[in-house]
Amino acid sequence: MCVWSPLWPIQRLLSGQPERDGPLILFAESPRGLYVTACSFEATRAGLRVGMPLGEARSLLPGTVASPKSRRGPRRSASAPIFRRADPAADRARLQRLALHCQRYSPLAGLEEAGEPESIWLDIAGSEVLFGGEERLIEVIRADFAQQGFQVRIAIADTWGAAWAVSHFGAATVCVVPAGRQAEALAPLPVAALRVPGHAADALQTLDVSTIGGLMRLPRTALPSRFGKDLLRRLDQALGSAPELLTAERLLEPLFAEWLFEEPVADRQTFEHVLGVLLDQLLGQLQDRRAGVREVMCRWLGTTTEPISLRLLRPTSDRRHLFELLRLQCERCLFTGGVRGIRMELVEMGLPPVKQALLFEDEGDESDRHQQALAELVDRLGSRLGRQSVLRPTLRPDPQPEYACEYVPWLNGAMPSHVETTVSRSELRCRPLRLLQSPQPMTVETSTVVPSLRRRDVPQRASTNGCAAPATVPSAERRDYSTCAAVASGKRALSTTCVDSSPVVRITGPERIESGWWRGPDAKRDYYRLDLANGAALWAFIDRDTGRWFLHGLFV
Amino acid sequence: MKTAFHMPEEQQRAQTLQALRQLCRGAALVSAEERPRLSTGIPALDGLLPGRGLECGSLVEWLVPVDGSGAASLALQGVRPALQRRAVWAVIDPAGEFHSPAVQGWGISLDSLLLLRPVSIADTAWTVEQCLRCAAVGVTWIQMETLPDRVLQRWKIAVETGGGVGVLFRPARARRQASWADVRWLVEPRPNAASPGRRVRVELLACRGSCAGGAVELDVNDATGDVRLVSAVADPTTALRAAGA
Repeated sequence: MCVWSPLWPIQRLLSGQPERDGPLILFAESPRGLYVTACSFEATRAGLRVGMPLGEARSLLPGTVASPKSRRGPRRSASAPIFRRADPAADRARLQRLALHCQRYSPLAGLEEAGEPESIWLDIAGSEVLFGGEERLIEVIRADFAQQGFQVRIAIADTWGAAWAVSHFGAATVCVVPAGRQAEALAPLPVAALRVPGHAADALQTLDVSTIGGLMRLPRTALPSRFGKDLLRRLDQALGSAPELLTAERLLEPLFAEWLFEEPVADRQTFEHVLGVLLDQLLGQLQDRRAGVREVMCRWLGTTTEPISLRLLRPTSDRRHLFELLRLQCERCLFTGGVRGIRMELVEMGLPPVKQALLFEDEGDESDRHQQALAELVDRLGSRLGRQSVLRPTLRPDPQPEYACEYVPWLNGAMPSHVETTVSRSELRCRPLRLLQSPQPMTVETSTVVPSLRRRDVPQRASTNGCAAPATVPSAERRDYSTCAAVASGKRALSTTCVDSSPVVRITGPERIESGWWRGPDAKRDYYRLDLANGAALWAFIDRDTGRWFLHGLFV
Repeated sequence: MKTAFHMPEEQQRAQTLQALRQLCRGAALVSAEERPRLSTGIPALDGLLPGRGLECGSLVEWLVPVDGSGAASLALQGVRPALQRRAVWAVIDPAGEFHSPAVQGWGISLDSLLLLRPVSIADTAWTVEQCLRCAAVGVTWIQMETLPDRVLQRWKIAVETGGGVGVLFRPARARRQASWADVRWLVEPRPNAASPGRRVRVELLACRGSCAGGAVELDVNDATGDVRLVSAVADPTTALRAAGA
């Protein structure tokens, strides 16, 4: 179930003042000045819009004497316009309290996944019968919110995405989507109902794809590269093909351990000792809950030193492992002054994998040990190198080689979903194992044109955009081109062993790649494999616009 | 101050259990000769090695005369057999140039890949050591132009502890430098006009527990994924004698 409170920041402020009927405008500060972030219906009727500069908004509401820096309202009359600075933290906190209040309807109630949420999600599977069915439950919740001064739109569906879309963009104030019929319910709704970024929805609109039904008819493989990966993810989540998690609100007391020094300390050994003591205290608190540490943070009190943030691949209560990771990070801390104290806070906990110990292990035990060893290795590497240096590759359906793979940090946890590639396995084998981060200019000189070249030796699709070299380049035929005196030389900045000048003995190709118009300038390339006389094999291309050669990889 | 965990007791219990396991299984009596061996993925190279394969816990060094000479394509043949034993392949890639899609072309799942991008040389050496020491990592893949002092010795001890295989690529000029690697291969490109792939001569420079010096010539075809031994040409004198000339 999705319970949406339209214009939540406005409703929150007006809920305690039912007698007010004047316009209410919220604003925030950006590098370009103050602008309107939300406005009530009365303000909208007066011509105000979200995103409008505050000065322009004030000119549309004559008689307003509000000052942006004023914390108090300019007037106290019920119909006078009020300008207030937006407070997203207070909005979120109030919505969280409402979500906790909603736990009387469902044990799992939480906020939508958004920067400034306006909706509460409830997992009502199994609990609706206690209220006499879904329709009756909706009535009860609407009445409850109305009593607190909130107007809501409510939708029930199989997925969070579908419920969100129908509650925000559906025709009715309340709606129940029958089980398994979310595709039909979503089809007439606009693409924006999928919670996709505005530029993706705009791009689809320019292609005359205005509804989700129209979007579903497009080929899936082409969507991520053209409109961003979020579009497909959101569509799958709404249809139930991809999971979407609800983070339920919980009333939890913060778990932390703190040590205050009598005077500022700058001794690293002391810090390590105190970290060990605090870790013991924290693990003691967690042991009562039979939980392990997933993420922990250590703050250095009384100094501006960066806090230690430690996130693990999987929850653990292994004191030795945790202390080693903390010590690794402590070694790399640059202390800017004396530390008055250390506060260790638990950010996230989880259930550590527990298994009954056996005297004689079997293969399953060995696999468990490997998993444990791998988790500890990833934690250690991530702790010292940083999360962005411990990566897992996943293929993307993009023909341009530098975009054919995406790297995801291992510590993000979730395994990336497999994507269909646009290149076959045999073609992938012909890709180099070493791809330069950016193509390097190189020269391929031809001093003599081979006289015996036949027509079929010439690449059938080779560019003739002022490029002399490829016109004399043979295809995959094996020939001795020592007389051709072609020279390839590429200077590589990243490695000390540059590719020296050497005659080309064989050229294989071309493989034409023309792609990426949505990223900017179109990449128009003819790729060749160049086997040099010194034994090196290069992967190079001719830019069909300029006719210049670029070194892009090495078959190491 | 109250501490809820009594790790020394737990550690002692774990150590006692481990000792009991070893006694029951006689694991302490397993000699180096009985350790499992891994194929290089190329039978011709296996034939040059004692026991027809690499010993687990080995450091293998590939010396290459020039970038792009195909040594990695040969070493890649041995990754798949090693990953059947342990499913993680750690690739240390400080330059950020390792092209993962090419790996999938050789039948290796990207799920097994642990790609590491340390920034400094010290971090790189530490990262390699951690991976070699880890019992979950089957292959640790390293490409470094210059190595800090004594790092190879540390890596050798680490790989023996971890039981995986370390694959190290170095320039051929390092041939005359001391090495702690168990196996050293030298790759030399050979001219090849007869077949579509590339031809290389692979020489076994050093191998622990065996006489070095053996060499083979191989044809590597990237398009088909085949690595074939080049058949030696018969001695013309012998052929003439056989013909009765």
